[in-house]
Amino acid sequence: MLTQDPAPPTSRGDHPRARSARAPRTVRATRTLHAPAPAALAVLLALVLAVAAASLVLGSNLLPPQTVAAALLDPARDVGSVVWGSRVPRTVLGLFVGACLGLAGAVMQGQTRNPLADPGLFGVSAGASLAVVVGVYVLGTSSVLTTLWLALVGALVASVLVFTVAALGRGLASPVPLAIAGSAVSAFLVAITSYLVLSDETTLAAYRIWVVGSLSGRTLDGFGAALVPALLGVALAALNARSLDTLALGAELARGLGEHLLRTRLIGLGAITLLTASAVALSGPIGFVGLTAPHLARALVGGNHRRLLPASALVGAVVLLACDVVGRLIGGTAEVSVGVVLTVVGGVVFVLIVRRGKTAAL
Amino acid sequence: MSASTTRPQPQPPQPPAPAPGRKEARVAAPTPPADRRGPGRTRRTRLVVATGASAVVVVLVSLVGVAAGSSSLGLGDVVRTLVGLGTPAQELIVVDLRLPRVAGALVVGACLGLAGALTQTFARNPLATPDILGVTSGAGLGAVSAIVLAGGSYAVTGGLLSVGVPVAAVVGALVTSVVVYGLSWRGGVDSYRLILVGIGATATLTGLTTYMIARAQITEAAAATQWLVGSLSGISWASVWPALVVLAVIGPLAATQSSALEVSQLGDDLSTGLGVAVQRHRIVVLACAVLLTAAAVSASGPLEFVAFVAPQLARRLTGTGRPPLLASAVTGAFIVVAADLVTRAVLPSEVPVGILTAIIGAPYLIWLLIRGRREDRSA
Amino acid sequence: MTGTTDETTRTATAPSPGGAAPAPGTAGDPLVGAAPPALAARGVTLSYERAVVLEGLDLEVARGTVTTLIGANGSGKSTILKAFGRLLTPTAGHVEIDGAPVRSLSGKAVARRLAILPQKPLTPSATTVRDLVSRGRHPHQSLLTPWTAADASAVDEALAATGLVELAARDVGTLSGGQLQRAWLALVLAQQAETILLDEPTTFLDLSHQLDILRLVRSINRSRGATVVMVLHDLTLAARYSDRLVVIGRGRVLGDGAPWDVLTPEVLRDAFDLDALVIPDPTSGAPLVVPRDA
Repeated sequence: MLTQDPAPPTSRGDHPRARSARAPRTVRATRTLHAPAPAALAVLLALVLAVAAASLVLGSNLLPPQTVAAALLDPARDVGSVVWGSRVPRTVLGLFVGACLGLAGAVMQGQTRNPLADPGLFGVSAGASLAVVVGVYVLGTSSVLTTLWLALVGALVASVLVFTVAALGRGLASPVPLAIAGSAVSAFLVAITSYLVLSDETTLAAYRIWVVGSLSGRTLDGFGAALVPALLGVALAALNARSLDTLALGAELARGLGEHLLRTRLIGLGAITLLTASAVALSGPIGFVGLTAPHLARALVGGNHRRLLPASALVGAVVLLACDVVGRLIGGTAEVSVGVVLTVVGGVVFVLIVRRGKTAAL
Repeated sequence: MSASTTRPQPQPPQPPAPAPGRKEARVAAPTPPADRRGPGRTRRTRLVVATGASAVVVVLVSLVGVAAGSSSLGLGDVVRTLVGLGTPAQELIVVDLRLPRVAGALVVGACLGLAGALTQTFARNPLATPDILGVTSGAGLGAVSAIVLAGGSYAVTGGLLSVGVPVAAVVGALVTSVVVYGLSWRGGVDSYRLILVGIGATATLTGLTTYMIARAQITEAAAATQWLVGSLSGISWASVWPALVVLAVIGPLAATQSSALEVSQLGDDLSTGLGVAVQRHRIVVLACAVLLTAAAVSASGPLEFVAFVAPQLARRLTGTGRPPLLASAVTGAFIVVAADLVTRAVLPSEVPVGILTAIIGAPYLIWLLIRGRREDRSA
Repeated sequence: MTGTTDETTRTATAPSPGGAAPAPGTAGDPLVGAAPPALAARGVTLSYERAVVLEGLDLEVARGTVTTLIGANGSGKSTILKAFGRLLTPTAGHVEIDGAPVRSLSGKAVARRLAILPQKPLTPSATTVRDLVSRGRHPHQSLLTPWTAADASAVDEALAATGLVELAARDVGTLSGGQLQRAWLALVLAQQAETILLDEPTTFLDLSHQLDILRLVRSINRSRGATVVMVLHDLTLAARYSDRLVVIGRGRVLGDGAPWDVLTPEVLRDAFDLDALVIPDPTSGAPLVVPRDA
């Protein structure tokens, strides 16, 4: 949730990390080479498949892979209902939510030039939570489909509110007012949510389960409803990719290179909102994927957004689904939801990454 | 002295208009239109006057706070009772019931405002809160563990009367801060790395806390959620005194770091060049922020928003570049006392003060954001 | 412009403040030579992370001289300056100020004798020029004496010396690049230290502002006898405004001495991979480096 002005580009290479042909022996060349992009992406795809397979096989009952494969091909078989009824939806959802959040996080960090930016900063999670809570409090409903629609609407309305506040103020050119607006709006919405939740036990009961972020018991009902905004978000993100690279040079140089800043911002923010809203609507607010997936992806494929965006989506998918699987395994009969596993494990992993000094500066 | 240059000079910005709409502004010195061209003394005057006016307002609101309630007293009665001339009934109400609450509000608000100012100045970032050091999430985990593991022995409203929860909160806060600091040590502490580690730790601890609440009995979950929101209900002198002592000790200590804080804004290299012992200064500032936050949280639960918004408000009111320490404390006190007054006297049923501070503070900050078209770069 | 010989052949033993011949037995007396140098690096090894940048550096800077470190990008000039300014701890050897190891003095004590202007200081917001320059007085202040008349007059002098008196009440965010650089310099001057380290004080400035800064540096050296160590990229300006040049490259000192002695085509080729000729500057007589286009 912190932003800082981008460092001015420097032409001075006095720092030993500067790639200089003049003093090769005393200066350690920066490791600028990453795995060639196609290789890295192929590895990630393989990881996705591996995690998906694990997700289908593992769970409260360990199903032998052959049985799973057979059930996949022929749903009518004995374990077909388990496989198709719960494992497949869960796997699909896990990959989808993870990919959306990973992609949204990469766009977010590229837009704000801030390695700490999390898609939740724009009030998306707070808006979704409030809408869901209002639904339970006022309408008494907590059906999956209603929750989904409420969450989507709430998320979108909240981010529009945040953008409006930022735009009315110093405008969208600088990310700092946006982040402050996001914090303020989120805090406001969370306060109202807390009030409602504390006033009514039913609401609290529903809320505390939703807010943890979980894939359990989810089916693919309503998946189509979330898919549409997500695909739109993907399209916008793809559109934004080249601009994000230019933005990395700083706003002024970007403008000098012909970048239309306002349009870039709007496209990017639209992408972030749509992707995050879709994800949150399906699974509840899950943190940390949006924050860490881009870092991991950057370590693998580098900072070029045309490679970074898909890589981040894949990393997000792998990480989220893997945490879901872990949550299924360690909880015994009552599983630990993915939101908890992600934040706990994600926090530890993040600290380790930081300690190794591998958080790349943007 | 310099050769003439044909480079056009940038236009100086318009002077900031005084912030209207709040009591402080009514009493604050009107900013002269040539503020930026006048001597630096005008800036200092504004700082002093704004801080002093805010302090006066806080005292007034506190007195009203003591007077208001289910059986309302007149202001005169309140003053007389405080001096020792009231009836025993009045003394019971004022000293045993109302005063601890208002005093608690003042102390908690001041602690958080000051802690927020220290953190934001240290991080050179207006979005920083003591939260990022992991303090609040550590306190939360400690308190929630105590509530949940002790199992059902805390009533929803009476949870703060017990000693166990605040102590657990403080222990959690301090242990987390030490661990975060230790984890970010690598031949010295870089503020960027410290913040990152703090964020990682906060995420982990928050995840664990959310998990505990999701698994607990519903009554415990309600008590835990209530505590996490931040509330002054049921606060007693037993909770207020420790926080007051911490404020009295740490406050002046923080003040001694003020000039080093000023210099540290110029970057670590230049600060070292000017004689600031950067590592030691950093530890002292962080320790102050952690202790203040831990003290506040133990009394009232986390009121995170106060630590974020009070320094920003104070900065805009006094027109300084970084959040002023004393003014932030005063502003923080004001926010909490006012929120408490509103919840006790204005609203039909009591709302936890943590909710109110956000509901009042957030729109105010948003409004300032909208108004602040030509704010300086660090917002 | 003064005569060429004065400019270019001053050696480390020359000046004492005020320009009078050094009295026997005092600092600057070549027969005694016992006065400790303003700065000294003794067997210093410097590294970033695990990469060794310089090894076994022995360098002395005499009081009252203007020394400029030159070298290619990445050669370690700023690193040496940071080591002198105790911003970087040597992995071997030590740095001395006036003969005393830097580590033995407190931060403020060092700051009263040594001022450093690093490359990228952070510009604070909502600060006037006068406020900024006042922070240079920090080493002289304590809890009990936050602001004295001496502080105020030091700030006034610094503002006058850098020509910023009319701009004193302006917000630093509104200054042009040249004005801001002068403000930083004023901050360092307000520190009133005998030794001043400047890390690339002229980068990003146009030529006329570069000359302003360098002329100011020279006048501080002449009037106050301040010892100055700078890092500069422009070889010609470095030659024109320094008593001594030290060429850094390949992890060690490649040349050290008066400008005419150091700026030879051989050294230029060795240190900068530059094919150039060196001719006397028609206006100052200092060496002028003229690269040969292939």
